[in-house]
Amino acid sequence: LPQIKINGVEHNIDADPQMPLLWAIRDIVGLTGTKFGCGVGACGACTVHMAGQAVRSCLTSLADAQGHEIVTIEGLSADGTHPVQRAWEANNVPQCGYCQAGQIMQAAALLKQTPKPTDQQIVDAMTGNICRCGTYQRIRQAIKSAAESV
Amino acid sequence: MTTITNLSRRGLLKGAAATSGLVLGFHVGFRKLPFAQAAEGAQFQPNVFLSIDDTGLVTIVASRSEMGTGIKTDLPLVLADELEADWSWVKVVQAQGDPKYGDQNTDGSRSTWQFFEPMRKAGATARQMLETAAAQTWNAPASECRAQNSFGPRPQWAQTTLWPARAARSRFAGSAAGSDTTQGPEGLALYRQTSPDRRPRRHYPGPGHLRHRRGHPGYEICLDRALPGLWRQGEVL
Repeated sequence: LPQIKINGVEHNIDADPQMPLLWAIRDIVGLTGTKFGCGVGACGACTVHMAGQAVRSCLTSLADAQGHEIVTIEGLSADGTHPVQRAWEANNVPQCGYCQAGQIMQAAALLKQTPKPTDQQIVDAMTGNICRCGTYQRIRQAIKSAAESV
Repeated sequence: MTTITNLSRRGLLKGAAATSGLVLGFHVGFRKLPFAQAAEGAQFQPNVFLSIDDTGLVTIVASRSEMGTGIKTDLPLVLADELEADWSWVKVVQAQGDPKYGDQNTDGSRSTWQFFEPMRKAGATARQMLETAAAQTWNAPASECRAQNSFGPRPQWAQTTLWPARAARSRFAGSAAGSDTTQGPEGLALYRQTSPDRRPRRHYPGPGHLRHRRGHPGYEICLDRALPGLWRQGEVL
């Protein structure tokens, strides 16, 4: 059975190793903060961290995830106080909220790798995360304010 | 022809007497829309969007669905604004699907223009009823008992909430008022006098923001249903 560590907890996933990680996270482990958007890696709603990198969990098989540490939106911080989450609240980023878990995970990975990103680096890192409500300006502002507090 | 039954304020407040707060119903007066057409021949059910409890907590029901446009904040804010209710004392409750709320179809950029006036009238009517009750309580002219952000205007009333719902309920339940609830008490202007800057122009955060940052915006009932084997559907693509 694929054994995967999610948010610090080891899980023996009783499923086909080709099952996308997203489905295991949501339907088997029960962590539904990570969202299904397109299923083909085109929207970024399902973004999680694998070994510290932002990945699209809809395109990552359980076989690929095995042995790596996975972090979902629920594990980003214990109480929603990660600098990116704080910045999201301070800047009133979300509208409908559906894409926001993926946006936050993508932004958190960016700041972990590049603590003081330029505007262009922010655009480049976030370009694969789509927001139908169009909250892009506030997303960029929140990332910049989070970068100042990191 | 669609018939909409007028419900008297007296009747409404009597009906509310069994609850813990003042409950105000009001009419949604768009007859040509599907809800009204569907109600052809049936008695009109008043929509109940507002209640105020004895502590001053104002509960406003958001009948339309929040899908990112801010409508769950917008429409209750219209009501609260005309009610002169302090927004920090307002609790917004999402309505379940129920015909008593009228048309809950949230699309087509229609929610604000359809519900702005009904929500405003609901707030204005309730405010005037409370102001009248306050005037009777304080034995003062109604013109001196205008609500100001949930409180009375005079210095000696400054810390006295205008929303003693129990007193208002008992007074209005015993009155002879019988007009349409959207018209307000006799002799009072329906809407408060406005000035462009009376309500601070600031962002009013939506009710769900604290949940959003944890990945749970609140649509889980329909979106988190698991269907075994569904993931394999992607292999067809």
